[in-house]
Amino acid sequence: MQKLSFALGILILPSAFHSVQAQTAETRIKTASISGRVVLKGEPARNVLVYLQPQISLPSNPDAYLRARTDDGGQFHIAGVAAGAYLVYALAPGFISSDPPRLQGKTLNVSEGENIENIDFDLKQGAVITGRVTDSQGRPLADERVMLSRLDKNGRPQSDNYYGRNFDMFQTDDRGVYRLFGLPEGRYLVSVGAQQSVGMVASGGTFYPRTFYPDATSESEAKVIELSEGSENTNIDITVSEAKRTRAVSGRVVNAQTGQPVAGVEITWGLVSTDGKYTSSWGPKGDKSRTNGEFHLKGMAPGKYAVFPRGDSANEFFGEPVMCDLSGGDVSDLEIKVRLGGSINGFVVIEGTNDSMALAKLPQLTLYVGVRSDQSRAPRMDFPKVNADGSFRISGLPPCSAQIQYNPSHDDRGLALARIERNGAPVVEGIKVGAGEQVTGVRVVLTYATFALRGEVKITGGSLPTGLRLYATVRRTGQQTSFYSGAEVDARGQFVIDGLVSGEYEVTVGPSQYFGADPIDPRIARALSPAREKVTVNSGSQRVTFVVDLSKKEENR
Amino acid sequence: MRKRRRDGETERRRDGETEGQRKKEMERKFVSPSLRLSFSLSLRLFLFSLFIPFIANAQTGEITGRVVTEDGGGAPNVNVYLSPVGSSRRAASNDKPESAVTDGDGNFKFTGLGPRQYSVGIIYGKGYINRPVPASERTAPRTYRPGDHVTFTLIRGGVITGRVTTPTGEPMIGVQVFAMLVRDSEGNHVRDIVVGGGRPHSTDDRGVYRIYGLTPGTYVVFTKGAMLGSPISAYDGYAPTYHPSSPRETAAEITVTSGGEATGIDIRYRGERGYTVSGLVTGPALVAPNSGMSISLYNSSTSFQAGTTSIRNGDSQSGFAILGVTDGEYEIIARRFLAEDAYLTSPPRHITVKGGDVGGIELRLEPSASISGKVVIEASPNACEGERKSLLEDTIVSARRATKTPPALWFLRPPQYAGSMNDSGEFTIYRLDPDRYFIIARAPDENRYVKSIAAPAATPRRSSVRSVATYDVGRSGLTVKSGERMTGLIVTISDGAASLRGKVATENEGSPPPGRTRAHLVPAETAAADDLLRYGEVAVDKDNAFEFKNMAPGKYRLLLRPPQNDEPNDGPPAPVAWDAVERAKLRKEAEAMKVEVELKPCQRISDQVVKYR
Repeated sequence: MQKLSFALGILILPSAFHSVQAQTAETRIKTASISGRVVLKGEPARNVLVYLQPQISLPSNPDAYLRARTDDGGQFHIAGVAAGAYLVYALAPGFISSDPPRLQGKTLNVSEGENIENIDFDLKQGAVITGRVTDSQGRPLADERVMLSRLDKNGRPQSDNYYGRNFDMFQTDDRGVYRLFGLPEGRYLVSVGAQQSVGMVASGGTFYPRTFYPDATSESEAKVIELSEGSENTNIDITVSEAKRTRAVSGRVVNAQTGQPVAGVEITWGLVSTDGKYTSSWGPKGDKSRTNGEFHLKGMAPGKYAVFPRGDSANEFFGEPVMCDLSGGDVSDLEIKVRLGGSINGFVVIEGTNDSMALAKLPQLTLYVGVRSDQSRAPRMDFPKVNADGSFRISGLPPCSAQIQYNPSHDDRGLALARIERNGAPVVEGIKVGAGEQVTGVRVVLTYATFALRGEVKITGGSLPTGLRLYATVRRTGQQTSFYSGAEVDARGQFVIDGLVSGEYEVTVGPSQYFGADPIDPRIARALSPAREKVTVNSGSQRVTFVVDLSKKEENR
Repeated sequence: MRKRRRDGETERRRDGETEGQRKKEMERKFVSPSLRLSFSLSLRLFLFSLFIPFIANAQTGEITGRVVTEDGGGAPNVNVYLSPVGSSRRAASNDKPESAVTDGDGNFKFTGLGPRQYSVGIIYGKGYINRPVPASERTAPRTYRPGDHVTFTLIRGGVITGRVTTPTGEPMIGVQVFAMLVRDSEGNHVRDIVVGGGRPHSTDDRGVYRIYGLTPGTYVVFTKGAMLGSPISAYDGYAPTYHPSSPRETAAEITVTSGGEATGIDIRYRGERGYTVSGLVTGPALVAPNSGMSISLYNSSTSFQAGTTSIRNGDSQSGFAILGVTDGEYEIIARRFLAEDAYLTSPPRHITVKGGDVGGIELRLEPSASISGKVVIEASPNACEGERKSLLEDTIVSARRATKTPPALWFLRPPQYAGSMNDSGEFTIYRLDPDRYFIIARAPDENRYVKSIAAPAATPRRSSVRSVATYDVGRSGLTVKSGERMTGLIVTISDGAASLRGKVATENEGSPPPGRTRAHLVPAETAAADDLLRYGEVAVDKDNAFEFKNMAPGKYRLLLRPPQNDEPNDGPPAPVAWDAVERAKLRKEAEAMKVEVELKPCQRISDQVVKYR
């Protein structure tokens, strides 16, 4: 019994929102409007709230979000929209749009004064899974995290939950009962317990290994739950077996040369690859060594680990990883030898300005540093803090080559990386740091990036499957420092990539890789592969158009 | 000083210990074998002062404990946390709380601890809570030292469950529901209103919510129609609706017991918009990464946070708007956290909401103040027998507000701020709002007392023309201004503290003194009339006993007084002696009572009897 009308009680008069808009200067500029229809099983859905969320600068005042409710015909109309990038949501609790769970909002690039129509939503009633989690003696497992995996077209579970709204439903209550609702139809696995079989799995002394409905400890034995639109699946009870004890590894951090304990070094763990060498030089937040050099890592699942100083600029030291095997029990006498590392000291500057407002932004910038050393196969990633005067320091480096990147945050694309300099000379490949070397004179030069690239992707010979979103990527070509940026292709096939400096770029359109995406149909992948263009950006708005023909049998060379 | 020394010696001999025994004890404690010399008193003095700062901070202490359930059985797998109290953040680099997990029998242990004070707590969840201490037994927060054993008792929390519907009776899905404790299990009104349950609770697809893990007491339940995980709600209205379908004034109260379940606590949402409180935040243009501003509105009589909003760092405008406010009296405050010692806050401002929006409120952020100084131990020959905690970490220096604040506002203007101290005895009290304060210091053990608290004066006062430019904070308190960083305070702790234990006898055996009677020690010497450090004030307990500790030697008068009428339930009241007028009254009454006591250095009187009239 679906409710077509989302009756709500007091309707807010639209004038309440206009009063907010009247405060902005935009009312003197022609504003845009967005309209469309919301349907449920082909019938108009009445009184559904449709709202706009700006892609940048989320307002903290709920009143500031532009919105409208659908009328008796399921139609909505939002007026007074300023130009910009938005997400449009249809908010009907208990119902979901037919868009993928992680992509419930439709992206829209709105130009000044546009009247955008046909932004439609197709609602479906969400399904329910409910049950109880207990141990082998029937005692309830309270406050236990519940994980939901949706099986893709090929029957493979996609990585874990999508949270979004109602994230508190993914937890059992004091009776061990959970109730997941508003789920799209499909095939699912439900599980509790440690998410992975290695690593830090619990803050307490015990943990439950991952257990799937009804009582399976492996995915292959798990029972699949079929959800159809609006169905209620009850008694999806999970029984866990014995809790396992977590392990601890402890030891001392000593100076490799003097043998003296070293305090303040953050020790972390990493997984060990099958050939016995560890795979990463970066680990999660660990434990800082005390004055006597002692460190303690707790809550680990039994298994093989590499233990090493975390590659983080808070550490002045680096060290060789030490392997340990926690399968049989705790390990308590690990000795981690460390050496004083090299460092890179520099300044972030904005070219061509001494504007204090711009410089005030420096501490909010995120620098990304990729460090490649002989010590590890995978690069270490660092995010050094930028101080108010633009200075930064990357420390604890083994002999390596460090590549500094600046990636503008989603919210602030006004600046881009122009080049990296070391003592005046441009650096392209990476900064070489010798053993214990303190590198100075590094400048990360940013410049105002006010150009934008607009584009459109026209699909002919068919239409894209609902779950597929496209993404446009730009890569700066030529001798300069590497630079990547991109934007999602919106509901109308349009995209805007801003924050660019003038130069030559290569634009590519491909499938958007998001969490929980269905594997892409190889035919569509082939049709998309020629979507690649070279473009020169040297003015405010460059335009590029792609035509993707889905009916083509072979790749056109 | 020589005179004192002789007295001290006499005391010790009377207690039966010989000179030889004392020598042995000192050798054991303080002197390495190579320095075993004959001890004349002067040498002993010298060694005391020499060794006090150099006594090794042996990090070998242990705090053990057990977490049990109500039936006495051990509770396994509970997370226990330990953190040093009043530790200077600048000292240790490893200042995050230590954690341990209880074993199969509920036991836990923290090892490798330095001799100082610690706070210990548990986090468990799963519908259980730490058994609350009844308000009548609640004193200052308990701290622990190495050698202590701590017990926590887990009891089942209570449950409130029900259904939320729209004004037209449809289930409201995914809206957040709150349970608010209004009275504790003894029926006392709760000042800092706790919104119970720990984690967020929202309604499911049937409109059903379940809040568990609640402390026993009396609650009201409400929703504002807000949806978790969404910036706006599908349901109109911002003002809270209380169970059953009411504003706060007529909200039905729900009794929650340990392990009990209150069902059918339904809410019929009213969808009212409420009023908007809006304005502007101004202040110093400080740039700090990742630090936004929060503006909060609190109910003036219940301290309940009626609304909050935030301004992210970097927003060009600093306007704010808090929605869904109902008629009432409120305090509004803007806060910006920059760093441990850099904290901006606007002075709390009172506003009245009645029948309409309130706009144009300007909140000016001001930097907080700090007071720092040093604790000095004055070596004296009056060292008493017994346990001697020579470590300064056991002393805690706090600033206690001299002006009265209504208890409802204590969360905004706390009555007391504790300082943090490093190994050298240097302390800082951070985040003070501008006001007048008294400095309180706690002596490390019962053998010592706080002798004086002196601060450098901006200008030398008339009365202290001879001494260095200091004035006695103990007498008049100190005033800090916004952003002021006051330094140079000296807290002097001296040996020879005395203590006095006694009982109250009533004239008619059948009528005991009223509960919460207070006993006072008032200095008899006129010169000490305004030395607040010489005044003692303690509560008479339910067995009619009282105890004064860490008193300076001298002549006193003992006085009993009935309880004050307006004593708040939580937190100790401000000492009566701090107010000049009350102090004078106290002295007059003490004089009239004529119960005289002389406290000699290190004296322990345990049998004082006072009649209550």
